[in-house]
Amino acid sequence: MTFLYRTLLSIAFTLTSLSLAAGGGWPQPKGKGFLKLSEWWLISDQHYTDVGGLDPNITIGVFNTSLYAEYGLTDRITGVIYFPFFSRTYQNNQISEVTQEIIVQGEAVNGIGDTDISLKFGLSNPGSPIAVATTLTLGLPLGNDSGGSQGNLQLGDGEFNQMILLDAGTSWQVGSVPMYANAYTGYNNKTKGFSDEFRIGGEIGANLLNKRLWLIGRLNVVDALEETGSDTRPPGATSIFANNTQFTSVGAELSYNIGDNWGVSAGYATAVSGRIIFASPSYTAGVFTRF
Amino acid sequence: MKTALHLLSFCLLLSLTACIGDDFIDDSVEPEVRITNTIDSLQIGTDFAFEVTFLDNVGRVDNDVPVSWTSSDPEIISVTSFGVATALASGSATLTATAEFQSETYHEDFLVHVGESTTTIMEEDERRVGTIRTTSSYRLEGMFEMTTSDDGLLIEVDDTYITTSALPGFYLYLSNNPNSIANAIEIGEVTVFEGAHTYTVQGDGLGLDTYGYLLYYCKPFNIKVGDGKIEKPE
Repeated sequence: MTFLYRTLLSIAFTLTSLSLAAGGGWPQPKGKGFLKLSEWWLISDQHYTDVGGLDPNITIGVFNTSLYAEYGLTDRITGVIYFPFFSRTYQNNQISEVTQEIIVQGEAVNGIGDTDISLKFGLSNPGSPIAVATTLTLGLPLGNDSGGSQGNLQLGDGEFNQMILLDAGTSWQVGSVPMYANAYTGYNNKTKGFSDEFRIGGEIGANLLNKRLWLIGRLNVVDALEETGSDTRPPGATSIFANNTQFTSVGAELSYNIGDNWGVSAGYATAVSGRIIFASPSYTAGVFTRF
Repeated sequence: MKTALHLLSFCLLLSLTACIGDDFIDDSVEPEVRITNTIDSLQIGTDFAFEVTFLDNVGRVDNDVPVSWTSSDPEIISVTSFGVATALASGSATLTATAEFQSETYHEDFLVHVGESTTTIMEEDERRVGTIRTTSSYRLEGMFEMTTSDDGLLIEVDDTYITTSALPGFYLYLSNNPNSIANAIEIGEVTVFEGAHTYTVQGDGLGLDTYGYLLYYCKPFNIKVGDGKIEKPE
């Protein structure tokens, strides 16, 4: 018992890390950095099935309170960490409409979540019209992968993955509006019987309101490269932690600079198609600073 | 810094107050009077005690609901209020078990012949059959036959069976409610995804008519995947 639950939860965290894939092809300058404290959450009562259909499930909520940081070790090398220092996953009670009695007791687990540490290498010279960078990410399975009485409440997928991304970005100006675009492709090598993943995506941003507001749109595609057979399937999981997850998601983020070096952001992402993934939007809100 | 602390407090509060709510499922079923030891004929001059169960509107056995008995011809077969029938003369009579539940009347009746000996239902009927079907987007289909043996209840799924291997915590139950695992018994995790296979189920008082459905259920998502109504063969 594992897979779908794990898949659905795996997706939630995938969406989290994708929405935080800041920086794109641009490494931080040496000694400069970016720090973001945010809340990400998803509440879902339906999911895309293995044939892409839409089926209900008991309502499951996932909440991550996280720190995301980038720091320029050199002008070309940036260290990145995503640390969900408080995660909570719960599922609702299931209650009989007829008798009002509880059929399945709801429950929740709390703890730290799976953490990503990355190194981004700038491949292009600083100031190049097209910024190209590659990023190596290690996914540390720090979150509980089998919480709850059924082992289906998870704060991580329980596997150590290694992902390499190649980003290319460029910026330009439309009238007085600065804009940028970034595209990436990558390979996620997963362990413990999870299928490896091919990833591709991009984002486009416009700087509005006298350069105070960034409006960003995102598209991400994750494709499981091979379906792991049932005999090797890791035990237990729902959606965002599940195996063989595939999806296409779109999202948007508003990032507003309140001061010269800090601001707030809010984001939204949802899978528009997929297999073994929650079919509900995720939200994020945070505060960030540059230093 | 103050803003960050405020947001941190907000985040932690949001997480911690992400409360467990309630999901309601429609688990209503038609109440039923079920006789679990029907016979085909009763030997003249002998008694037979019928066993009856009342299942309420969620398929739960309710022993507090009284069941009354009547005979269409008490001069051929008499029956007590406890369901003990006595064969008095040659012929046939219809026995009826009736229960009142929430101002509605439910009954089950069956024909009994008075003959040379007491016989259970025909040998070929000592089995139950059914069709496994999906009620979700997940593939699930097949046929099954249920019999009894010294080892318990045998559920033989035939070679037309096929289902998905993508589900986590995919379990099979025997239930009297096709939409709920409440009051059901868990047979085991589904580990065969294609082809013929057999389950052996043991339990006190477990017979061919104890449960009305095979219920395929995904535990982690608490969702029904499919079912198979257990029926007498035609």
